[in-house]
Amino acid sequence: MAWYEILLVLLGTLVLFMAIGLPVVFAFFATNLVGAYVFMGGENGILQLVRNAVDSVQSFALLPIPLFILMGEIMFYTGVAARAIDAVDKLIARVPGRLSLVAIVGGTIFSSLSGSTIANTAMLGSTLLPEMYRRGYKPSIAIGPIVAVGGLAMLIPPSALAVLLGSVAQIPIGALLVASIVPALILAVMFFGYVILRCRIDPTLAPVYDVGELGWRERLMPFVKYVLPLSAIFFVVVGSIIGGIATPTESAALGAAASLIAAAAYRRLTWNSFVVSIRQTLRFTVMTLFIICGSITFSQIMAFSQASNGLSAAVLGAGLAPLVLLAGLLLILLFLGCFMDQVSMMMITVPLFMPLVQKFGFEPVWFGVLMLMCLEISLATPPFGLLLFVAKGASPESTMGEIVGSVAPFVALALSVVALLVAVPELTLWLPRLMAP
Amino acid sequence: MDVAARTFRLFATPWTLDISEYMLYAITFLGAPWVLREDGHIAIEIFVEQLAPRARRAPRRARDALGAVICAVLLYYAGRAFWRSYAAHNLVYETFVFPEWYLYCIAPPVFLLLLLLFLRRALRPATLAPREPPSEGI
Repeated sequence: MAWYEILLVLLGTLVLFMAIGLPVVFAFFATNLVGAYVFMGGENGILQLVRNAVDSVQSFALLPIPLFILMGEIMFYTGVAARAIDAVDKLIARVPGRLSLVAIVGGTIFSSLSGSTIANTAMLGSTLLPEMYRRGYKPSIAIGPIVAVGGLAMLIPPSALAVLLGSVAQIPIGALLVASIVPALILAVMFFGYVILRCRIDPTLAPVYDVGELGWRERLMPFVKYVLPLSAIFFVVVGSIIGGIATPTESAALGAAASLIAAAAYRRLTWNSFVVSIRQTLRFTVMTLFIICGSITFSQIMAFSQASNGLSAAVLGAGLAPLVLLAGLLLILLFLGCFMDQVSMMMITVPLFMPLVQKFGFEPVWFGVLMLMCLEISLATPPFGLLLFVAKGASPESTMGEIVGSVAPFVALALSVVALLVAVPELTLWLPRLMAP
Repeated sequence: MDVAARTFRLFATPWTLDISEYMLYAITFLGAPWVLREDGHIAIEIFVEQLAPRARRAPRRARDALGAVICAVLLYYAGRAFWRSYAAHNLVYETFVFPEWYLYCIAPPVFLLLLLLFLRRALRPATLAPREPPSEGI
């Protein structure tokens, strides 16, 4: 068989199994069972698959994932995050689109404390959407910012998906975590500017309302009390990586401990909230890492069958300009993102993309951030964008069409940031260069 | 603890790393049947959900039967991998030295449980908890 036939058969089988609703981890297992038997020496190939599955998650590099998720769950279930949002709410004065701006600022802050996009979106949706609708906000300016900023948790450390990508694609995890900060902040600033502009042009979208007469002390104190101390958690995680004091795994452990201490210091840590946080962390960890067990052999099959080499050779032979190739890779990610979850996308594309990234001499950390940006965008693209469903859960009275329409301008803004990062790689790379060797 | 020990040159605790890695593996495997029971594994349902509720039953049964077949094959080969390791008396040389089959003995019962769960879903679809999209992914 030619390499492209092998590639088509393997990817076709995988997509078919996924499309019939088989959990993606078992779709990977099924495809890999066939692939390992055919291309990796019959039964010995399948035994290797089993060994890979057992060995794949005994990895130091993957340890930050449950810890980063735990940080977000603790903040969410103890109510510390909601109180921080409330403090941001008091801080922002009488401006057009005030609650949407609260969502963006609060969501960005929560992203720096949580590795879970779902927790971020669910928390913003449940705390802010009812108030937005009560104040007469239109869905187009209420839902969009929440979904858009919810995805930032994937970019700003602690980010569980950045750890996963770094581990699977062999990109330095610490550098990848740190490199995503500036792009995420650019995104947040653009979302903020867009909301202000849109609400100035059409004030009926988010009617201005009286927030009551609060002195500067009443405005500022909750922020000082409930938000500023939490920023210490972010600096513990990021600072320990940049300073070279701790590995990403150790920084995640420090972050999780700091989150527990913060929740206890605010007297919000109860046995119930702790148990629920652990339970949710276990659930997300298992569903993510079991996909790694199922899919880890996929890259080996691609290599053994010569599919990835064939693809690389064909792309090199086609004489594509690096920029065209890069655009093609990112477009493939965005297309897959319409139908697939982020972990599956990674496991399918990394074995095919990374050889090309190496051959074309792209900086891996820079490419990793671009990939994370595309994964972040695909959280909000229909029909399978996960955060669209989370928003639907938080706002059952809105139609899916309204939600998609509301999110579309933010997706366009995120795409423009991707273009900016492609044009100016320094935006991504200067912060990792500050890291201690 | 490791960071403090290293920074202040106190003591070395290399075993924490190994224990954490083994725990991550054990949690992932042992948790997989629990997540399947709660219908929590990520799946792409959008195509099946286009069908009328009655018409969804057949593809869902086929999906679960296929899941059962996959787990049966994995159970067989995970059992063989375990037996090979046990018979060969392979050892793991890390901070702790122990028989390799300790690691391989988890997979067969996990795949057996997954097989049984898929069979139950295929034979009694009503036992399936309703899917909650917000609880998927990270």
